[in-house]
Amino acid sequence: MSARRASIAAAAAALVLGGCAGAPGPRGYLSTAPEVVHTARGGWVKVVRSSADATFGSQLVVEGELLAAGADTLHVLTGTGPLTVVRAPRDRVTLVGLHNRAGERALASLGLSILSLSNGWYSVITMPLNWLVGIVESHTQSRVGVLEIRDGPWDACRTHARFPQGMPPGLDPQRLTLHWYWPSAPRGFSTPR
Amino acid sequence: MRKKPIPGLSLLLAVLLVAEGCAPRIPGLERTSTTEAAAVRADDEDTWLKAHYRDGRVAIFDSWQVLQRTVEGDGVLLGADRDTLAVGPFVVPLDSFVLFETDRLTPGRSAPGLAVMTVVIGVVGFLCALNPKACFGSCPTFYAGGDGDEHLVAEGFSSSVTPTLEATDLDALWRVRPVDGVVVLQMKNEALETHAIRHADLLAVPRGPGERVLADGAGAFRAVSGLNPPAAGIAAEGDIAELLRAPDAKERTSLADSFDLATREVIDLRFDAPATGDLGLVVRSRQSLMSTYLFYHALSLLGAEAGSCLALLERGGMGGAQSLLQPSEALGFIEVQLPDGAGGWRTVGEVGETGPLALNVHLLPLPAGCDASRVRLRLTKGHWRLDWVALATLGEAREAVRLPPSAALRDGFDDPETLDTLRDPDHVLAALPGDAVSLVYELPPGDGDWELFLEARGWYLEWMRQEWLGSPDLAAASRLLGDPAGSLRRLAPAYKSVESGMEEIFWGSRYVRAAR
Repeated sequence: MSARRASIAAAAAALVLGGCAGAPGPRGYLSTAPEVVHTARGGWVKVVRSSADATFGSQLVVEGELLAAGADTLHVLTGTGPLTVVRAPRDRVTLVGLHNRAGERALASLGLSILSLSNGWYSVITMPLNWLVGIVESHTQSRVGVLEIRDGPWDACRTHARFPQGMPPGLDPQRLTLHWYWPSAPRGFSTPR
Repeated sequence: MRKKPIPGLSLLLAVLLVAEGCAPRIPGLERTSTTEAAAVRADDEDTWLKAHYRDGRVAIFDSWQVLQRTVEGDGVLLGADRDTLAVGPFVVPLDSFVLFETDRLTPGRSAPGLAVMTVVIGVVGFLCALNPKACFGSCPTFYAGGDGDEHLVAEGFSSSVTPTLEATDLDALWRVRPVDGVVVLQMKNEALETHAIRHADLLAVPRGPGERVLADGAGAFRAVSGLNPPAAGIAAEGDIAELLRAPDAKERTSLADSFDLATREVIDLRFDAPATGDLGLVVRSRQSLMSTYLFYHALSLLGAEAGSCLALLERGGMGGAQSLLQPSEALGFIEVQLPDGAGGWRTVGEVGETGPLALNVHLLPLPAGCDASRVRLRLTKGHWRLDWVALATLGEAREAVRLPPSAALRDGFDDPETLDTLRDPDHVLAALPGDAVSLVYELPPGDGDWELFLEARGWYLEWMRQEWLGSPDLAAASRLLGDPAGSLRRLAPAYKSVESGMEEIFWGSRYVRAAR
């Protein structure tokens, strides 16, 4: 394999692996497992609603920190304030409880791809094999800490809610704020406190 | 009956276990929740307790003890908006809480697949560093075919390791198909070598329907027909005729002798009803890595003195540069023998070519009127890979049309300087590791069918590897070059210790299989 082809292949692998390894949820918000044990914030939740009319397809209803969850309701703290979402048929919920660091698997696989150039002709075998393994490992890791619910009750989301006991009575949700690790929030969200 | 252990499977399991144990892990999280204080998990090093108040506050305990009416421990109290309200030891009545969560850090997945790939790539890389020729090719390599179907069709002048050993190499291009009268070959330097290429011309020989044209050892071309594979081929391991019946890259190999690398073996071939008339034996073969090993060993013995020693040999000292090839020459080519009529065998010629990469087709014309129903091949054990043997009826001699390249392309762009150099017999084209140039040849106009050959002339210089640059052992080097027979005996144990690994690299390569 020529150096040029190998570099193109490695770049392609990076794109594929990066795409596969992309864990849902904004990186500036999610905490890794060792950080999560010291905090008590909710996971990042997305609700996508499918229209009965196929013309309209699926639309994002809400995205933000999960405050509390019931079988048919989610309380979500978005960048513009709190919202309560009531379950509708065919709703799809994705809840990310922690930053699963799947990108590190992809990076490791990319590094191995470069290392496989030392295999000479055998990189024709070891490089694509490594991509395959890297894609599988990255994808597997990207599902760690992720809960997906399609068209079913939402109680299971409680585990990663800020208030797993339910919304505290008398609490004014308007006083709650999103916390970000990174200095800038994603577009459309308010500046962190 | 007791089953035999399977070493390969055991090794794989061992690698997987080691990989599983050694691979870096990304910590995971295990969260459990309960409303019953009695069910709260006991404190341990990797566990944290989150006790939720009804009003949204939460107490996170690093260490705790659940008593009859209270929870005591060290931690932090967070408000509903998760701002810190208090830090320190707390004693909180149990009925203040509505829910208890315990977070436990788990070791997480270890990505054993990536760990195994690290081992595989590392091992292959290590073996390639030990034996670069097995992985990166050597001498100028010539490829045909486009993207996705590129295959090795020839390697040039493998034994020309110094300028004075400059030689011409002729390779049949059986797998090359012209497209619209044009042949394109990729010439590459894939090794740590400097190549000096005097020319790389295509020789096109006209052929008739159902006919092939082969080059005999003297450089002449003969039309051949009636290619007849052996009915039987008896070697030490049994009848190997099946492996030799077609040019299909299914090769017959053997292992070197443990005490003397020059030890020969014989293969007795039987041909049913050989045709009458002029006959020739066709052999398609390539070498193992034995001669490569010997050459590298010689360079490592010369060590840091390799440059000056090679210069001395170039000037004709110590027997001249040819002496560098003596260990390899002691291994010999493939002797072809016929019954001598007295119960023995007589050698009528030999076939073969230096080089472990591309398969070469050779034709040996047999003596007129001989009985070719029985042919014996005598060859060095572990030194050859035999792909195809056939008896052929020789036709008329043919003249080749010489076709220098009509264009040379680098990265798709015309490179007139390279083209002029290759077409000028007084100059050589220098190629460094990584160089690749596409050579375009235009066949003579007309509808005729052509047998194609590549004639490459030149020499190359092996680059010294870091691991060879130790203190020279000139006495051992002198023995190796001056007493090749004795050296082949002395080196047998060392070669045997690496032989299987070298072979495995080659045989494990799909690339090489596809290239043949």
